[in-house]
Amino acid sequence: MTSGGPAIFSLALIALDAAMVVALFAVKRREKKRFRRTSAALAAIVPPLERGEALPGDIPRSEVFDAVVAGEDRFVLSRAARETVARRMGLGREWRREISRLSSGSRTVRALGAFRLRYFDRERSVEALNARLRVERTRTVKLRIADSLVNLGEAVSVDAILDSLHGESPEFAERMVAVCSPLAGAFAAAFARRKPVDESERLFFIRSARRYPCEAYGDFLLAEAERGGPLGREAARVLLKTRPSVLESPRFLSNPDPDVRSIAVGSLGRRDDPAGIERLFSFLSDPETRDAGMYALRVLVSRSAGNLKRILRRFYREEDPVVRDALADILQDRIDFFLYDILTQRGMAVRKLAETLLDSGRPFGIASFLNRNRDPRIEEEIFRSVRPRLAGRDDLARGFAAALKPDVRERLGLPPSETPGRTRRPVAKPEDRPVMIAALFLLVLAPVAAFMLGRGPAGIDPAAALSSFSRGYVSTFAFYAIAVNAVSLFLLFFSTRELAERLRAKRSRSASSLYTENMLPSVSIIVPAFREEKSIVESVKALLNMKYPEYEVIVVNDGSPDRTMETLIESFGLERTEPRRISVIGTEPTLGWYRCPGRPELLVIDKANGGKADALNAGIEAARRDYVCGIDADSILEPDALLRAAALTLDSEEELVAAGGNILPVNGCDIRSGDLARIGIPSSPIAAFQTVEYLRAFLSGRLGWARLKCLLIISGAFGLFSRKRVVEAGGYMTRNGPMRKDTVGEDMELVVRLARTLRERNIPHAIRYAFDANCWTEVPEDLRTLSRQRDRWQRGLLEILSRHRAMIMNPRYGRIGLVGMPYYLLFETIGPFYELLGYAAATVSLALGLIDAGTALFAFASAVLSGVLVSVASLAAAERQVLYFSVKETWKLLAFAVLENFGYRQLMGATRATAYVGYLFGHGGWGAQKRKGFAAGTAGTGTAGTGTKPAAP
Amino acid sequence: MTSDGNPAGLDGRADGAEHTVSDAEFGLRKILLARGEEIGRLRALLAESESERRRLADEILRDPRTGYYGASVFAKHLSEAIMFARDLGGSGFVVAAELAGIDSISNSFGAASAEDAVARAASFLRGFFPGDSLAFRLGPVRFAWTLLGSDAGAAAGIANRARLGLFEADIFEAKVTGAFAMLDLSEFVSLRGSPADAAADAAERVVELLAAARASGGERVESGVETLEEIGGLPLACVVEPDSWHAAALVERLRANGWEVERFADGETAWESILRMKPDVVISELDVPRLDGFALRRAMRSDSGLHDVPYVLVADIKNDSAIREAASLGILWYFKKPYHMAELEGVVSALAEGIRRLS
Repeated sequence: MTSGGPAIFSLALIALDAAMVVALFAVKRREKKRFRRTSAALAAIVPPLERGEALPGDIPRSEVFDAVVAGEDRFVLSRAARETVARRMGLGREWRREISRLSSGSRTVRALGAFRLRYFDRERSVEALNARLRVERTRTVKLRIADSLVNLGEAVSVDAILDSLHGESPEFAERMVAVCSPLAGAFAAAFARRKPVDESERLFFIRSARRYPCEAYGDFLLAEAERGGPLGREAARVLLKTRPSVLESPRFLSNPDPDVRSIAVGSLGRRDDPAGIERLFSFLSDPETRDAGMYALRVLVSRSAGNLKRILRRFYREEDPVVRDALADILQDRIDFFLYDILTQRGMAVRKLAETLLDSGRPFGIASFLNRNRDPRIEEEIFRSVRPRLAGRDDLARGFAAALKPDVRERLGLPPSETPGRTRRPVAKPEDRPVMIAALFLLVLAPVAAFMLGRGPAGIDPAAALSSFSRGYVSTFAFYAIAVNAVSLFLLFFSTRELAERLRAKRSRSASSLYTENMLPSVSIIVPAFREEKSIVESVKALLNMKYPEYEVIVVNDGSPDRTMETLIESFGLERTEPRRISVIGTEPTLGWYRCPGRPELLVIDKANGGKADALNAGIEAARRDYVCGIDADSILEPDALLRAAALTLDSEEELVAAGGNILPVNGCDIRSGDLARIGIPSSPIAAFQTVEYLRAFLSGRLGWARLKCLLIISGAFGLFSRKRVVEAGGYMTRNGPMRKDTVGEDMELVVRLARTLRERNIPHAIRYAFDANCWTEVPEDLRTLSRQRDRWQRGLLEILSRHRAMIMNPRYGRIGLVGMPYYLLFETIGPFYELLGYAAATVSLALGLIDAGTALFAFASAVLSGVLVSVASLAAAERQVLYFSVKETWKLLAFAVLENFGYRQLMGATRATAYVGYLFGHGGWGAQKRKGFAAGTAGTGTAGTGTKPAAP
Repeated sequence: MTSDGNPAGLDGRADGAEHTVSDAEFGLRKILLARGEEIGRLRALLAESESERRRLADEILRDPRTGYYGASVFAKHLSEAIMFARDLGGSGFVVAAELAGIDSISNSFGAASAEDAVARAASFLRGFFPGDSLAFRLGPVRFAWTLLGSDAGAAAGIANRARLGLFEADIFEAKVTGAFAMLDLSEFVSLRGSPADAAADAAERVVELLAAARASGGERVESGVETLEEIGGLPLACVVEPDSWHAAALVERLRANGWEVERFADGETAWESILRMKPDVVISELDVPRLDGFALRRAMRSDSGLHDVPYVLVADIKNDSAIREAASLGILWYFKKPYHMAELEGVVSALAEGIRRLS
């Protein structure tokens, strides 16, 4: 290899790098200028519009349009103002552009056009939109068109919209109901005329009836509910919300469909009269209506103490053991109501109740009462019933040991249950060690073997042979480095495409429409917490204040040895509540469910330690909403992060089963009361390197993979999943779950398993990535913690690849099998090894003079300079996401982006390579001692060194 | 209304439900004003810099406003939100302020402490809404109300009633009503003074409670609230709604929450009965045969005994002019179909309670 070639190549790369830097700042300036221009235009246009005056004539039409469009989220214009704008726009260039967008091949372009047509002449726009709606096949575009039609206020489009429902899924019908809710009256008027037959259309009307109850829907709802089936269930639910009294007839209470019966039983819970309660009891014996009956009884109990007494009376009279058990369940959570009377004349009855509960294995209600009780005589009296039962019942002993406060427990005479100082940490065990060792062997020897074979048996001068071998090896390494970076650039290209599409999709909906009821799915945020007493309250408060229409927060205390649970109870005034287990996966035992009286959306679960995945599973079991979102307790989620991640459901054609967001280092940011006050670059160089790395990984990597439909990693710190699908797949992999095994990389494992099972079941699905949903988390600032973290990640990856190896190069799994998994195998697993060897070989060869400068330069250029290219390009992509780094910070990031290729990346590669070896041979030694804190990807409390923590109030 | 000028119950009551004031430390995060949709204005200033924001806010502030608007606003800081809310003009005001990060209020107002900050916030708000009443709601919120008009009693009542309605989310849609908390504002009803004074009293009381909470290490602070039963007798609502199913749904819900309800299908029969029965609240559709919603309201206004009976309009109109007419008739409460029945029920109960408390 001559010196000229590599030199030119290097210079070319340097030039490209420089160009990319220029591009970065150009993007930054452009965004800023655009913003300023739009704000100026808005300031000029909005006041006259809102006063009802004409628009100033000197502002060109295109600027008016840009301003109005950009201001969609900032100002909602009145009808009159809208018409003024439409008159000004006329049917000129902008109109023609949007009309042509309606017939584009790309669905996001069509959606954008559909959205923007609302700013033009009403009649013409409606005409165009209706025409398109009739032929449109894509769901997301149909919804946009309907949205614009509703926005233009056209009742005339009702038929077109209803026709577009035919043959679509129930989820689509639900979305459409949300979009069309402002015109609910017009749809009700159309209902009688339509006499709908199509299922989706019927579902549409059933759901409309919920917000818009009227005569037109009356008989229809009754008929549908009586008929049963999925639509019947929906109708029954609507009736439960609007006219519960009509459900009290035998038509529904004795309906053949068990779900309809259950819902009808629920209606009995609304009436607080003795006759109603008696009726409810009768439904407890039927297994199909038992849950509904119990729930209704619980509601009644929460309303008045008198109802509780009625249940108790029934409990004593009841002969059916199953019903008795159900009643005992209800009573156990209110046992404190009775236990205070244990010393009175009613004491015998109370004691009998307590003993029945104990015998049926229900210690927790009694335990929580004991914890709160201050009267030693009452305590002694209760102990008298508890003690004799402890001997024979292991489960009781354990339950009391876990649930009681230490002093009470001691008085009772129980040894403490082992609460671990450290959380359980799964350890990676390779399943096919021989194969992996063989692969390693081959890797090292392959080049040598190839060389030998190529050379032939003829004897050669060893020095020259070594020299040419070195050259060959180093060149191969150089080409490998080019390949890696080429892949990155390839991904970057796709990332920019995906980014453009996502931005377009974002611009084709208004932020306010996201808050329409049922537009976005409901979410259960699950927060596993271990040893978080210092910051848990801040974090939970921040999570309770998300900008999201409907969600709940489930905090799972994973058996923290510190005062995490106590802190939560004190700060939120938590009260024990009945157990909530909607799905079943299998976890370590749960000790208690707690509610905050002022905050119905908060649920806290206390459970025995089982590790992060186990805690997540416990949260998923209790989750009620459509989606679950796993968040690390020490991460800071931006208030609209959830909104942006969930908005992906509106943009994907298929069912969104998983969505990830950005993880960014919080180390350089200002936090105030759990809220991000100012973002900044970390001062620690290691953390700054990670900032660049994360930006690169997310904005060039994951965006690209998402576009290629190969996204396999959703960060554990912030991931949104479809609850139904996760439960079907068996939840996170733990040894308590159906898979009976632990894993180190549980987040990626879940995504891979989801993709795998859904593929096997032939269910079309989407796994996407929200480029603008940010979650800020602490990253390690010292090398040791960092390498341990990377080591762990790599082991997780290896485990997953090994466990799901059937998918690799398997066409059955589509792109994930043919492209995604092999990529991880080649470039993320084997690659680092090869890289390491290559660097070693290059250095050694250069030192020994075996290769010339040209080859070395080539290797250097390809490895480092193309790496710089990718890093800087990612920064440019980040700018479009509008992260608002100042110019100074951007230069700093730039410097790190360049520098990271001169040591940091190589070091990370080395860590991964050694992880491979460690995984193979050292799991006994390394894994055992690495148990610390909790968070998978972050440093947890106290181990990260410095770094900003949310300030306590 | 009583004739003596004592703000009711400043001496406090020991009975009734508790509430935690430590919620005040949750911080000011959002100021949400309810409903509106098409009629509403959504303003979320995303200005990049402080100066940018101020300039745009000034633009807004300089515009005089009239009429009724409901709006939803998400703002990070109290000052921002107030600027947005000012846009509502003479008859609207912000109700619920979740206090998130007393620090942010302190920063906004240059206050020395949380208590000071709250007091300053109150006076700042008063400066913007001189003629209107204001309810401070300390605590977390996801949905909230726009209270229109100058009835501090109504505001207080709503806060209370909603606090009574803390139920499981999926049965009683408590995410709407249950989000209210925590402070019994009925104590601050100034009967003769302006509602602004009521607001000032409320703010002072808030400061007191905060101080007490901090002194006692965040323990619960008692405050009084009466349950509907204690007030005595079931309140009566008159529902004027031609659609029988809708009427039945509304009636069922109100009855389940302790109301006595009379339903009418046309305006004239309704008017005759209202004259006789003197209900606690009237809920009427606009499009009613034989005496539409507006006409009924006019009739009630002209009657000396009925003119301050709370009147809630429920309708399916879309344009501003109808809303303006409603506002000119002094109709403060308007629910556009489709609406949340839980909200309507909450509002209605609060109104009734507020009025009763004053009488």
